[in-house]
Amino acid sequence: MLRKLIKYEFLADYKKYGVMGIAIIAMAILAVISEKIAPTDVKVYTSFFLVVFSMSSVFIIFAASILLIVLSTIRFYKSFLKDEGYLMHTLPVHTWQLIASKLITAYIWFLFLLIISAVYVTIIHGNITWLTDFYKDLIDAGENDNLSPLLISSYISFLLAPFSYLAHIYFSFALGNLFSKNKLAMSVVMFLVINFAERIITTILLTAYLVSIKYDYDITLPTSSYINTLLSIVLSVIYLIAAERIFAKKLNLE
Amino acid sequence: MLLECNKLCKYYGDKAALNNIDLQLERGKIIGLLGPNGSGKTTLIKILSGILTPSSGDVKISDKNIGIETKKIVSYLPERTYLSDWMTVRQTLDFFKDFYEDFSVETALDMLKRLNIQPSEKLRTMSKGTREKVQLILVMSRNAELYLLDEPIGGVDPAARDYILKTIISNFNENASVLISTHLISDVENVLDDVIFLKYGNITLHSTVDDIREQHGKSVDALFREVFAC
Amino acid sequence: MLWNFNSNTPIYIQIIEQIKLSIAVGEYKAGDKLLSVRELASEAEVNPNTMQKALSELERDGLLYTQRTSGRFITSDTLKIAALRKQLANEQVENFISKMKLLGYSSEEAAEMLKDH
Repeated sequence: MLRKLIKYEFLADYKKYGVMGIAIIAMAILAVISEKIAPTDVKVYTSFFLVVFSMSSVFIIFAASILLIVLSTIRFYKSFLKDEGYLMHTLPVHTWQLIASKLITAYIWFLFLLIISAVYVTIIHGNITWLTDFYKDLIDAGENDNLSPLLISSYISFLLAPFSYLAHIYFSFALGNLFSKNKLAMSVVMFLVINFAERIITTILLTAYLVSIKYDYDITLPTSSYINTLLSIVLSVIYLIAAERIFAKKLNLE
Repeated sequence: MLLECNKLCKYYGDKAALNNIDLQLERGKIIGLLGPNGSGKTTLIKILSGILTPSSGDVKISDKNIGIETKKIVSYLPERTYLSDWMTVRQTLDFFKDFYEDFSVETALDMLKRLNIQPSEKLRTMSKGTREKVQLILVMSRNAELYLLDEPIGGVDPAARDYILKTIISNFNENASVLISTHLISDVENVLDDVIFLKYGNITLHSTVDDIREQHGKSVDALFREVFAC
Repeated sequence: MLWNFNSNTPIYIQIIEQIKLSIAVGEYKAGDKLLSVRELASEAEVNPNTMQKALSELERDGLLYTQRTSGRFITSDTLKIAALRKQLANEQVENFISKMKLLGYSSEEAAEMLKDH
């Protein structure tokens, strides 16, 4: 059943992501071509182009993330809590299967956009040295004991970002669903409340930790970054389980 | 007993949509769930289909609590369009085939043909009435035990309405029952075995159509107008 | 068969009356095979249980009979059909006379008028 659910999740949005992927690649190719055909006497322009290109790599990754956030949130809301929810919630499947199918599909799209972004950067640079550079940086960081935990934990955070974001969103919608009126507005409020609560918990735990180790900065920085990542993973799992329980036991479609 | 509700309550805030409903339905019947807007018809049907959670009381369909096992044997037609509009009619059939073991593609294709709906058509390009017909076809092409039809003839033309009623008559069997909620009583009266009158979340009458006509000498529609006169 | 129902009497009673009439006027002939319950119900747009109830009653009256394997038939007993025709005619006469009485005519006057008609 989970595979079938993922299949239909995939079919629902593949055109949107496909168009986005093609658009990103097309932009890269266009940029490279326009740089190649620019007359040599306008060097100013070409260097200007180069600056724009290198900035646009960052921009593309940023835009792709926004797209993923927007599309996966809309998809969840529409197919879970609006009219389509009437179909999805009357299927003979478990609630966790419905949630898992959305989570897994969203992660597949995340990986897809990651690859597209990598292809974009490769086209813009005309080679894959950025990848080897990236790898070298990683090795260098690995040799520096203080920096590597920070780097590694931020990479882990990045790779888990879709999970923690969606867990957060699902839990917000689940809490919003518990209200008898203004469910959508309450979901937004809950999103902010969860955010706020998460900050407070993180701050308290970190402060407690810092106090306990008496601000020994040699171990503070790396370990606290690990704690941060670990905390976010634990919270995401709690959110997902809580959302699943609420939707399974207290579903109330408007 | 196909369906049993005991002391079923549903509150929205402090407003009761269903108030201590006790209800039993047998198999092999077509039952009309009648009541004015806001009487709790849709609330009851949504609870039975599993998309609303009751505030208290209990519900059993074929001796099972509401959940996956009841969803396998309940075929629900909501009063709204619930199909994704990117799908073609053919894809919706595949979808139902994928998830419901009791779904018959042949039956559905046959009904689509009779109503002149092309399987290749996209839902996005259809009128609301046609989409409703597609949904009813999907729901009635299942070999379910309990059909829950919420206002199935609300928005369709008279010819389609006749076809829909015929579909309901010819597709259900003695092992199954059909619960139809509607406010268009005279249109469905002849196909009903039993009727349930709902008023402010309470069942005020549960009787056979024959008994009503024999005892009151008037149609269910006429009795309804009398009971719910403003 | 064309079905027509009023909304005040139970449907199964109306079905019985209409089938009886069809038999009496010869629309259904002795020994004719009937459609299945489901088909008849669908044609009349009534509940199959209601149709079943009406047919069972007609069967009890001996106007229909069921053959286990091949279905339901109109009785081949022509005397029975003749009796049915007579019975329906009597009902019409009674109906006519009671209406005439309501209008203030005696049975004799009513018969006279009928003859002149």
